[in-house]
Amino acid sequence: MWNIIPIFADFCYLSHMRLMTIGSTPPARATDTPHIYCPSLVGLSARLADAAFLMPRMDQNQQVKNAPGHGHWAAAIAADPFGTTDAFFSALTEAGYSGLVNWPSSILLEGHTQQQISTIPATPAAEYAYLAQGQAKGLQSLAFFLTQDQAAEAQAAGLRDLVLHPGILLDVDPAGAAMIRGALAAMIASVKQAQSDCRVWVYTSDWHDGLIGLSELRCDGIIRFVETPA
Amino acid sequence: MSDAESPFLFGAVVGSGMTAQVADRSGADYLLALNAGRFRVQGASSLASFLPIRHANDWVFEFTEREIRGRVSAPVFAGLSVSDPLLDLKDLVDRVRGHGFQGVCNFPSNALVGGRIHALLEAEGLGFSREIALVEEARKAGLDALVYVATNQQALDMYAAGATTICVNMGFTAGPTGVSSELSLSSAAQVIDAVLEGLPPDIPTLCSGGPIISPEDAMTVWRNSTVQGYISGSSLDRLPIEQTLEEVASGFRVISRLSNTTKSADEAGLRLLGSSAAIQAVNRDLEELAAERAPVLVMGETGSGKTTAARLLHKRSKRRNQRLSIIDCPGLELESGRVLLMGAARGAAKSGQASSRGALESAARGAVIFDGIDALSVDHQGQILRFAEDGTVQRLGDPEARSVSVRVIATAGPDLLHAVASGQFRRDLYYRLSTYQVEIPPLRDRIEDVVELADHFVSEASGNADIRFSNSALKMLMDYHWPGNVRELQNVVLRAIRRAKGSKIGRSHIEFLELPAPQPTAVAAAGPATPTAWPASEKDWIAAALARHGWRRSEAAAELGMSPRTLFNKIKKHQLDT
Repeated sequence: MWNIIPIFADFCYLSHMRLMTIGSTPPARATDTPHIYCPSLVGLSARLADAAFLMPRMDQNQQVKNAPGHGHWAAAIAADPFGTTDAFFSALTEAGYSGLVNWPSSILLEGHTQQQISTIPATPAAEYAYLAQGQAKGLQSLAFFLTQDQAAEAQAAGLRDLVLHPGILLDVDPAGAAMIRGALAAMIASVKQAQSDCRVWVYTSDWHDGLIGLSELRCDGIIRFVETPA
Repeated sequence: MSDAESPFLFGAVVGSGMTAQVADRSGADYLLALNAGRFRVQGASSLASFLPIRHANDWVFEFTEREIRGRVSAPVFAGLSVSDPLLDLKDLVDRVRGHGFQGVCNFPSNALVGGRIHALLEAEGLGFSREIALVEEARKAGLDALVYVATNQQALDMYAAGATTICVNMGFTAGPTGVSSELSLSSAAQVIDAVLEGLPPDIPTLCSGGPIISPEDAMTVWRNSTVQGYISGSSLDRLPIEQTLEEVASGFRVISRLSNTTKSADEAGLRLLGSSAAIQAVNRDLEELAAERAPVLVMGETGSGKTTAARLLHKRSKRRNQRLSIIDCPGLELESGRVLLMGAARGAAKSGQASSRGALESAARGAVIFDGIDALSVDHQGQILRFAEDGTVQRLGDPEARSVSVRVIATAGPDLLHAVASGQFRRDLYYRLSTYQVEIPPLRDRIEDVVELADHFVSEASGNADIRFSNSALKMLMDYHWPGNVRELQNVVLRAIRRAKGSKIGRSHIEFLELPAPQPTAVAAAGPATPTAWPASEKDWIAAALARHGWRRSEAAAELGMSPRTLFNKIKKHQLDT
């Protein structure tokens, strides 16, 4: 599998911006664009997809593991209390996945929900440690983050490909959109400055682009959400 | 306040056939088959019930069908998640009926979720409003609905939708679960009453979660609010089970350590209790030194048994039938202390008072114990030195010195050597007293003696041979570091006997012991992130604060310590809005 589609094995050697997709469509045998298989996004709009972490409607890790990876990427729930990470990572490799992504993620939790869920444990730090374990087992990793603190935690865990998420956007007016875009641009620069070999990707969708123009940000790559009907 | 005439309603969250059957046999009024219960009985956190780790509804149907249905008499409610936009509520309710449930329950509920994910689900019609729709659908199908609510409006809306029982959820169970709650039991009662306000009295009301972790807590809240009962989740199938398993398991684990404990020979109180090599060595020293006339210095930490050892030294000696004087050195006052030690000639201490013998003279042909001699004042040290050197005492106001034969035994703490080195205690007196020296080991260095000592103190205090420590309680005693040594152990035993009220002494009766904290295993709870080494430009920090607060400028400004207007200007200045 590694020899068949080497482009997925090391996507970062190219200097120009790269594109990946994320969605609930199972990995196809051969596509030009690397894809992140995230079954828990099925039937969700780009807006609603940000709530997928709190929708207990499937065993995401099981579904991912059972689908052939074809060199694409697996989205995993790091907080799954059952089984072992070693066995899961081995299963992903055997299924043909080349990389691992922490999505959906605890990075979007707030307030008392964040505190309570952290006791599982489910925290950004735990997710980054999980991705680092996957890296040690030969899987590439992409780490979603929302804040600079989370990015620093991911970097401290040894992760170098980070995905900036714009956060849950409820009511955004044009002025607000410009501010968000500007702040995200500053954050990308800051994250890259903190770790020179770090690549910062941006999570977006058609909806996000229409709202705040995320694709216009200067970054190393784009992770584009692709809505999939049920 | 709850009506004392009304029965207390008890609901149990169940995640397995075993918990369901036990709760049913115990008379539960409601059984709630929730995925949270299933996670718990499999060793995971209830909070996982919100995550895409298992299909919540399918899981509930599956374990209820296999393990609970037909095996219990109490009504069973199905905990259902309705946040999935692909879910058809009518189909879901049909499945609930098909599986023989009494009714539905909105769990996991968006009422328990905070922040923008909560707002997003509500905005998409997949939050609490959909849980209300579930209740309406269930009621149309003739099912009951036991619902979780967190606010008064939710309670009123659910009642209007036809809910048959309303439970005020105060968040996940706090305390040993690691979850934190801002509520105390009294404030919980107030919150419950506020949530239930305006509901007609005919609808049963319950509460759950938050600070309630025991039946006693539930009773407190029940007595102080209008709520009629309680639904037990972690407080039923996690906390007590963990406690019981820990107690029983540690009882097994300590067997090998207990088997090494043998009761030392009872020699009518002539030995220090214990079978450890350390205390046996001390007993051998005491036996050998009993025959000597030379002074003995007994050293050890506070509470380690120095005075007892000194007494035993006398009790085993040939002088045992003669008088023993024990002088509490820390209690000796400067003026009266000399009279107490040496005595006084007629009228010397007080006008008209007859002559008196001091403690040393009184112990003639016997022994004197200077207890805590390291606390002796310098003046008294000089008086004792003379006596130790030539065996004479001179009463206050008496020109004549009297020769007295007294065995000198002294006790001191480990700081005596420092006092000698610093000059606070006379070196010559120290050498006089320490002709022979006995070291009493601290209890932590002879932990194998704890069991025998504890048994001895129990028998001594209660006179009831039937009172015993459980194995796991003994393990707790053996795991403790005993800074107060044997004296502390004796006090702990007395306290435990009182708490146990005549029954076997278990771990709960000595929970006041401050055992070393276990190594943390869980990932640290969320909170302010560790300060990081980011390049601290103002632009970066503003961008980071905005992201942390979901782009809400007023909250970001508050965190940054500036007004919203200032933040707005800085956003402009740094071109964060371009």
